[in-house]
Amino acid sequence: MSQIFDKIIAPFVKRLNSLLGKKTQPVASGEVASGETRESSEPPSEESVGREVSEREMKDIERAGKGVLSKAKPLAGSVIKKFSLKSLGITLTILIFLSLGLLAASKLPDLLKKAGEGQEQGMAEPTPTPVGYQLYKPSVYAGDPEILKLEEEINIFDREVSGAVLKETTLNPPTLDFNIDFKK
Amino acid sequence: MIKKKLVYCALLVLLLFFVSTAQVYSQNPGETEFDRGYRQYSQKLEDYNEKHDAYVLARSNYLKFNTLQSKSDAQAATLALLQARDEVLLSYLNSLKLKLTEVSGAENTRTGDLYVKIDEEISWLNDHKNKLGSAGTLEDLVSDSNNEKLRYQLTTQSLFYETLSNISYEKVTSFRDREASLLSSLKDRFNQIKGEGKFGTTKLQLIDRWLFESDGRFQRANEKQLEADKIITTTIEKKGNFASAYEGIILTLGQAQQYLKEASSFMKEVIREIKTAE
Repeated sequence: MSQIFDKIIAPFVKRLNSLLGKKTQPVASGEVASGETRESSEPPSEESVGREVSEREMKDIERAGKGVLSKAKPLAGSVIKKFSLKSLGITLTILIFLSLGLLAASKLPDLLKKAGEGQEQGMAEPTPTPVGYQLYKPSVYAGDPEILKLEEEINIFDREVSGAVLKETTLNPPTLDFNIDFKK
Repeated sequence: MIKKKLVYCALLVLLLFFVSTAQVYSQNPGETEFDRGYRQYSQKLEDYNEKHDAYVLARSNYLKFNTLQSKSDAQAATLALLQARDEVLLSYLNSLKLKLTEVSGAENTRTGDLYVKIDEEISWLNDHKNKLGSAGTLEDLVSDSNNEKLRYQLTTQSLFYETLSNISYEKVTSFRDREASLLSSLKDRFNQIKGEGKFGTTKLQLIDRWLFESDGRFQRANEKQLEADKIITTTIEKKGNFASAYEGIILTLGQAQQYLKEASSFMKEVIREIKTAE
């Protein structure tokens, strides 16, 4: 646990100190002695005070963290156990029913269609009576020049009268501006 | 030295080439008078649209700045517009007249009266166009335009639709005359065949039936055409507005055309029966 704590909390503290402008430096033995001598004659430097404060803070934070962790661990364990058994079962049941419902909904239109087709197939469709082939027998007037001439003229006339357009769409009256005025 | 001369000569020839070529409109050999008249009308309409755009610009400048120069420009643009407008109306009336001539062929009472009306309108428009040049002020031009507007609403527009109605009427008359001739020839030939006795009674009765139906349809077409003629005559007598009567006339003539089509298809059946043995 202390290792985990060191891994999580220590970097956070370091970061905090860097933000505050306090440098954490390792303390050497020689310096301590000089520091002690210095302490007696001169006021302590900012760096040594900062070092003591950060070590104290770290210890407090360590103690507090340990306490929280000791309380949280068993609680989390119990919650996880409850969640894993009961809710997992409920969730799985709901998912199974949902998927079955969606599957049924997708298959329903096809089933209805098949039922309808089954009904329709039962009814007989009307079939046209086939007409026997009738051979064309020309009459004595089939080659009559007057009849042939009339036939040609009637065919030409029929084409012309069928294709004629009575309304002259190209000759619609022009759209002109007759509202000439200079009023605002 | 020779080279220089050659170059100068070549340049001169090129220059002459570009200067001497004039714009030539290609003319189709099959182009009718109406086609030429219609082309001229299209050109006048294009010119009018350009003059109208220039007028709109000059008008807005004048209304905005109200200076002497802008007024002068607006007057010039309005004059050009009014003259172009008269040109459009004249060329359109000319196109209508040419189309009526093309469709009706020989002049009859109906078309004769119409030509007189068209000529009167053309004369009025020419006088109006010539008078425009003498307008001294912008207000004079506006007054001339309003005179034309009144005439257009009362007379000119109605004349347009009267001419268009008669063009459609003459088309149906032409078809009716041709079909009458074909039906008469077919009846005569069938009567000869009946006399020759080469067909049995059943066959002859069948062909008679087809001819009877064809004749019936032809008569119906005549009735519909008379109905259209009545609408045209009533509108002229009451000096009504042809613009509103035009669609009704076209509808009635369309029904006459439909009956003529049916009559010709029955005549085709008569020919088929005559050509087929019993």
